[in-house]
Amino acid sequence: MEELGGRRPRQVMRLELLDERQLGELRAAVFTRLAAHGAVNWVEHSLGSARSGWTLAGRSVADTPFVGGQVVLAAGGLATAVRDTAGAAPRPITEADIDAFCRVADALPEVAMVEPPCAPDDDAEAARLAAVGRALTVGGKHVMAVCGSLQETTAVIEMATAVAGGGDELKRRPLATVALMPGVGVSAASAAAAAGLPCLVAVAPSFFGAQDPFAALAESFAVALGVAAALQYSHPGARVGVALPPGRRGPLDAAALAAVAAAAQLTASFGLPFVATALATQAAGPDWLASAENTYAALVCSTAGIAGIAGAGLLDGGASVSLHELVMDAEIFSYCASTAAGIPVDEETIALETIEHVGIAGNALGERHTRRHMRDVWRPRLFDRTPYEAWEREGRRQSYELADDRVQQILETPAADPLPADTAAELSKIAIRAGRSSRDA
Amino acid sequence: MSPRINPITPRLRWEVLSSAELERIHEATLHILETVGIHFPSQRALDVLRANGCQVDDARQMVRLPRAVVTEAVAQAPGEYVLAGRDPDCDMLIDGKHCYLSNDGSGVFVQDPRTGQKRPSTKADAAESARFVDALPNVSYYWGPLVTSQDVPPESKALHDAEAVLANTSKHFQAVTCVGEKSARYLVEMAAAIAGGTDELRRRPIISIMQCAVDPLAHDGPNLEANLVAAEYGLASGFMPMPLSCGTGPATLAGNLVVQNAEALSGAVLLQLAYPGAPVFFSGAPSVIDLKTGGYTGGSPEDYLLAAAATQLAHFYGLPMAMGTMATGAKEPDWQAAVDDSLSTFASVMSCADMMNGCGLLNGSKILSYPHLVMETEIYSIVGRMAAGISVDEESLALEVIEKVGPNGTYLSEKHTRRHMKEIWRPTIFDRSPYEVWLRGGKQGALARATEIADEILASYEPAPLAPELLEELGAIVARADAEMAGR
Repeated sequence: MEELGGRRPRQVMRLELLDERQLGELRAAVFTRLAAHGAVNWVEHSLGSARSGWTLAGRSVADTPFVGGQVVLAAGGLATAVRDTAGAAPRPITEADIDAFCRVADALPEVAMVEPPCAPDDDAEAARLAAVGRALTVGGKHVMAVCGSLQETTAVIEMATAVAGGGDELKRRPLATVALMPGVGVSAASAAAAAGLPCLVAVAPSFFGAQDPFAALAESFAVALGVAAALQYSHPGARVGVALPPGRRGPLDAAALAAVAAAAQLTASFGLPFVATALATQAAGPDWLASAENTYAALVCSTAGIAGIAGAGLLDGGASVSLHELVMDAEIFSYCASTAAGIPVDEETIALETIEHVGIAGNALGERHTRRHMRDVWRPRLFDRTPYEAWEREGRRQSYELADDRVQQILETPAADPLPADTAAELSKIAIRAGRSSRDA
Repeated sequence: MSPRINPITPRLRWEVLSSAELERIHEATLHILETVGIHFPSQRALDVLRANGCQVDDARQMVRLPRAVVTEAVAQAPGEYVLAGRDPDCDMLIDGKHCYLSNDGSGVFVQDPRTGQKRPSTKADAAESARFVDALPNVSYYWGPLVTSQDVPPESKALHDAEAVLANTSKHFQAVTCVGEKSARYLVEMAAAIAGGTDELRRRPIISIMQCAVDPLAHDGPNLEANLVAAEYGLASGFMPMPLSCGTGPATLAGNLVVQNAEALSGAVLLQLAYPGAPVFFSGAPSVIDLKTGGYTGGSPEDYLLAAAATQLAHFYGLPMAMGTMATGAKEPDWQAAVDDSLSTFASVMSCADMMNGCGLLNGSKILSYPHLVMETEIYSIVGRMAAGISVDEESLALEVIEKVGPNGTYLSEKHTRRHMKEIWRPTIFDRSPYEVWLRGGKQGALARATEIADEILASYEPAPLAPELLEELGAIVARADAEMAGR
């Protein structure tokens, strides 16, 4: 497996949506909401001990930095349907689909963490826990577990502890991040913090009803900051960040996307990392629409100082997943992250000696400088760059078909580092037990 | 009535290079101009440069440009001017604050809108493409021709192209196939005929000229001479370098920028020395070689970084930039095309490229597809909205409305919503129908809608006509050019 994040250059370019005055006004709007609860000073003071970043540990991959300015990609989301091919109708997800999704995500070097989709079930908590169990079993990457209650969070901690080999080891290398659903109480966040797991608090601005997304952001941010501050108060130094779940009103809403960039700046101003589910295209397949939407989303996020972009592989606004979309989103992410990496300017890159040596109407192909740097150039996996005639001869293959080749190749390759069977069985038991007690409750 | 042209005024800016980095590339460029020099294979150009203090090697047609000559010359170039349309509503103020999209240019094939087959382009296609562009407000000017006339004498092809274009659009025309002094003088004669004389053309320049440079560090003689004619008549002109990293430019992007900058700057210096104060612009389409295929990438992260950085460099000198934008390598208007076009447009707009050329061609600027052109204008529209950013003030923060609506309410019937709901971007071809509706409609996506729009324009759009006597005059000029240049 390629080293995780090996294709993820550090972003150096920033697209700052808000100038200093605007950021000040947005912060003031948040503080206005907090002041209604007399909480301004307390929140500011408590957040002073928060970490601005940490590392994402995986069971069988190298750690990845998770900090604003070094964007990582998260695959998946809480979809309960899958589309098997480009034109196929969505069908309910099965355990085999979850496994396949996690295996493909595991094989893509662009993906740093996995938020597994889950099977449709009246008991959503049980379904989510079962999916987290599969993600920890099948894949070796960091898992993002969405939790809707203290009980669910506790079960995720139990599973991660079992995989890590004990509570101390989990604290040393936390294998999962708990992403709290909007409205979940501080107790769940505290449990995650006590176990050493990073915790993401959701901001849930409603972008519906033609409300200015910016105003909605200020409103929901106040609530999230309150939770983050409470967590710092009870567990100083706990890893806490802010997450924006999918919530766009249309296939591509430029204003909502701009609000994502504004949210990244706002979160950074409080010294917290930010994750946005920005890739949840409304498209029904990996087509031109999905491409345009996700390219903008990835580029805006890559240049907005964000820590994580989530939603790779989602279609239908997050309702379904597609393995092909996942592979194609990874390509878009790689493309955008390389763009955000900017242009280094120093003596070596300005290459004056080489320019002088090549001179007029010459060629740099045989230069040592070219040999040193030719691998810096981004290389595509799914972009077709063959001559037109060769492309026609080979059956006019599209990016989707190249993605399909990649999916098949990954699924046909045996998993490299499966979780021991007894640990996998333990995860299943934890999920079943937690599901049962959730139903009893 | 909708506007004839629709520029973007970006509020957000994307800065690829810091001030110190710009300064460093500028210094490296001056060093190259002063020590290595530039190939100027034109006696007229060599004479102008020598007369102004440059070191000229006549035998090799090489010129070393002292830094003082470069900086003083470029300081004389206007930073702001108007590129006029035959229709004054199509005038473009080039001032470093607006971005204007054109079509792409010099394509050689057409995906025939009637048969769907790929075939070589003709003069009739050049005319039809001008009529098509005239209909679309998001395409502010015509660049090219979009596809060249391949059924006319090659020696006078540029003038046949111009005749086809000028008769079918009242938008500004930036010519890219006009090379050599003779050809340029015929082109000026055609434009002057429409404008009402050369003085009127100087006052309202309805054409401009762009030429390619020869990478690395060289110009082409006929291209230099054509742009000298443009400058003589007060028409804007510029040179487009296209250094490819790993081939005609260093593998590293900063080095590529030095080569690109040296070529663009040297061309602008020549024009300023010959005609001080003539309107000039920078241009560029820098890229990298795909070492796997040995060809042009047709879209890569490096292309967009170079585009944005080259635009910053043009603005560093106070000059406008005409940047190669879109021009995907994809063979069809598909997933790959959307990734390329989205990033490319984003980079050009966010760095505020004054002119962006442009939309309509596939396969690395070779094949014209009208539906693809329409889809690219949708991408342009999205980027335009994003570049406008978010307004933050008392009205947009809407605290009163939030308090009134409270938790779990809806904003749908609020006056604030009515005041602002039309500001929300609306798609033209993006499909937002419910899944079942989309399924019932035969899974028609953006391409189907774009094809409908394209077909409608091709079937029914009529541009503002040129007077019959002007059409006759243009024909007569082209006939003279055929006789003189092609012996026909």
